[in-house]
Amino acid sequence: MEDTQNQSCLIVGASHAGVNAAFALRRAGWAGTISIFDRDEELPYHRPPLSKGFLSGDTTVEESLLKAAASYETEQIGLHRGVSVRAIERSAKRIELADGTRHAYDKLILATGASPFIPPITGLKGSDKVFPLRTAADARGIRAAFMNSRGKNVVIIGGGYIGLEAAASLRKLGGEVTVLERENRVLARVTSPEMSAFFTDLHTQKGVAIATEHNVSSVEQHGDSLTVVCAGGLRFSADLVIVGVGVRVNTELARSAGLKNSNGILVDGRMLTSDPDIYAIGDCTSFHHPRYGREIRLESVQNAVDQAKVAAANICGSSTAYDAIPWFWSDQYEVKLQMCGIAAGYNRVIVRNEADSTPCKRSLWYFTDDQLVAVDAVNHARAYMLGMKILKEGRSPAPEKLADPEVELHPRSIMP
Amino acid sequence: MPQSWCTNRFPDKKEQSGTVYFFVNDLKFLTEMAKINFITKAGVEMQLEAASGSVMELAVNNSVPGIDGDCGGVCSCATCHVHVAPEDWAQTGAPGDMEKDMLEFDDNASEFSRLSCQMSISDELDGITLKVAN
Repeated sequence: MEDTQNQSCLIVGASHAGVNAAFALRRAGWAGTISIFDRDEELPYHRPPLSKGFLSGDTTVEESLLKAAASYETEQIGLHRGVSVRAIERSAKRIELADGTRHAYDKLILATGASPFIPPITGLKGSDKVFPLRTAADARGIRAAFMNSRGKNVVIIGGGYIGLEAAASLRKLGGEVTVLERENRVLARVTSPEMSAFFTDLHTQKGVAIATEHNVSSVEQHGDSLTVVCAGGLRFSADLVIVGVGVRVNTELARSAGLKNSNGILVDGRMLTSDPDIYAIGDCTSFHHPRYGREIRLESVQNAVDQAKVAAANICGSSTAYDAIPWFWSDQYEVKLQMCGIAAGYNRVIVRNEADSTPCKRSLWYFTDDQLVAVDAVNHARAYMLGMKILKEGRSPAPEKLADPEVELHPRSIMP
Repeated sequence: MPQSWCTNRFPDKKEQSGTVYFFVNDLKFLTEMAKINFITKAGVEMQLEAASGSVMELAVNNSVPGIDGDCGGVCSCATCHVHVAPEDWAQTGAPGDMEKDMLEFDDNASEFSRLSCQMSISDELDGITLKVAN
């Protein structure tokens, strides 16, 4: 590695990707300065608990920090909170903050993430009772509005993971929760009909109302109370509304600097953008995944952290390419869902229920022809880890053995 | 843990108009530090101490290489895998069911494997040695 002593690496974005990149740079031997910039005022925190333990009151943001405050000092990582970056001046190799100050870089990492999409529905914008759920401030707002409300009536627009996790967390606190989903099943964009049915049943049993094929047309506010109006005229009253209908990738900064974009900031396997000194990592990137042979964009902690490590390694001179198997998890009530691989394009699914397990340990094994492509495991860490191992090895179990609950879930038994 | 805690929960408790007062001594157990020794894959020894939280958090906050804790400590990622020194196994105890499931197919797993996010720091763990698995 060339001498980095007098060099500067700037990172835009202090969430999972940005913060992990900073610490990975130090570990990989970057000797120069490292500065992270983020609009958020908070010390960087884990986002997944915001819709889970934080809403239900089991944990606090302070308990969910990515790194302790002292770690930034120890590793000499400058953390600039509450500031937004206005522009990248590529020819001068510097960034400009909203207050006009400029910072020079030798290497720049964009970890700009994504922002909740607020659909253009009358009444959604400008209400103090309507919340997206992405930041600690959003989660605090939801919790305060919920705790201070009389009826504890919550309408959640969007039956994705964020919406369903928020529904579970607020239901635990006694909320009357309705989830309105535009598609004909929840989690339509992210999982199979079998898993959608499982979560619909789970929420229904717990007392959450799930209404699919409900398109919200407007939200009316009278004093402290809201009415969510659906196309067709159905009306739902609410003390607060949570909007979880997906995100828009934060590409403005990259775009206005002339970096290549497609479904996100375009990067190669080393996380390098179309500028040789600018890397991009995390939710904001679009990249060709060698395992799947196509360009993808992933919104996950795994992708953020793994891409951060790859970018840091490459900046510090070791040529590393991203090839991680995607993994995700979701906690709802007492159910833990763990997923690995990407099921897109599967044409066969094996549903396996372990005979003597309470709560039921279930796993779904997705195949494209004979090739295993993904595993979803419900309360079944063993199936998840086994799936991960098999996917890493590029092998595939025999579907008919998997489907037989009498056959033990072990490589020695389920392989062809 | 102070003997008084085990035999008599609040030996110096004073009750007054429904308010419970504790003397500082009673809270001593909360601040007793446990020293934990980490040995990284590269063979570097690090002695760290804390009074609370999980072993994973202690390691992450002190940048112990190989302990990432990507999922934040909810037993979902297995990026905080350690091997407990055999002589300390009685102190740490065996993994829970889910933790065991997360470890079973890990190529680096041994009979002394634990996920450090599932190990709560208390003075029970004082002096143990953990080898980082990855």
